[in-house]
Amino acid sequence: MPIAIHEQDGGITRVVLSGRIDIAGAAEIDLPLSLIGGTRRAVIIDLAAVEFIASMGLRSLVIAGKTVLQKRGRVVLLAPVPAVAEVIVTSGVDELLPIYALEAEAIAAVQPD
Amino acid sequence: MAAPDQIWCLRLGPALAELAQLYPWMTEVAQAAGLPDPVLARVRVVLEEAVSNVARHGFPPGGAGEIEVVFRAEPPDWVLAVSDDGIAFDPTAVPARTSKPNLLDDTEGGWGLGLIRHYCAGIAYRRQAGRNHLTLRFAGG
Repeated sequence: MPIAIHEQDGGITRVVLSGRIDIAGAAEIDLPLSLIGGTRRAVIIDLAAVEFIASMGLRSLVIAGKTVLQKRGRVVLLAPVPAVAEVIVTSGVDELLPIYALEAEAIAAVQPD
Repeated sequence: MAAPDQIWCLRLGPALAELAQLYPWMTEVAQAAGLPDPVLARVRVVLEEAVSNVARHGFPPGGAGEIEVVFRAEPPDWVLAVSDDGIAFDPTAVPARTSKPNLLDDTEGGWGLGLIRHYCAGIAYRRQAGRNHLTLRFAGG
């Protein structure tokens, strides 16, 4: 479950996840995600290269997302494939971490006012 | 379309490290069975949820135990059967959530059963001879 972090213009952090976020994958991303959550206020979690997610992966995303939100920051999910989007929407996680299909929309959504 | 007598079996212990076997096993099974991709995607999620539920809650920490996973074709459907010798637990008896969880308060989530119910056309549980038996049915794609 590789994770790559890119600091972009405008103070936006883009976290690129890839592979499968099963129970083992979730364990691999927990620490990096919590470090990001603790220090960033505008986060795009890029899911385009994620082929699988289940509830432990959702948990990792929600915990990191809540840390950002509780500091009045913004977090969004970018471009999950349909099978991954279905898991996110079925569980209602998109109500906390909205999904955007396009990078430009995601950037607009997390940019500070 | 698979022949009706095709059946695949995986046995694993409850240690979380063993769950890494699920994804590659299901990839092989899907190929051998000619499982359509949309059905495979559903089965993968349910397999992960059902087995990780058992592994995390059904056994004492660090304890021994056995989980058996069987996948078979029952045309036009597909059936995933998960059995284990852990403590008795009937997921079908857990009431369905009537509203989405409040994610700002709820840290643990508990999304697994909701996902299983979303993806399965049928769910059946029985306890027999000291084992939990969970049968999960998927409509053919």
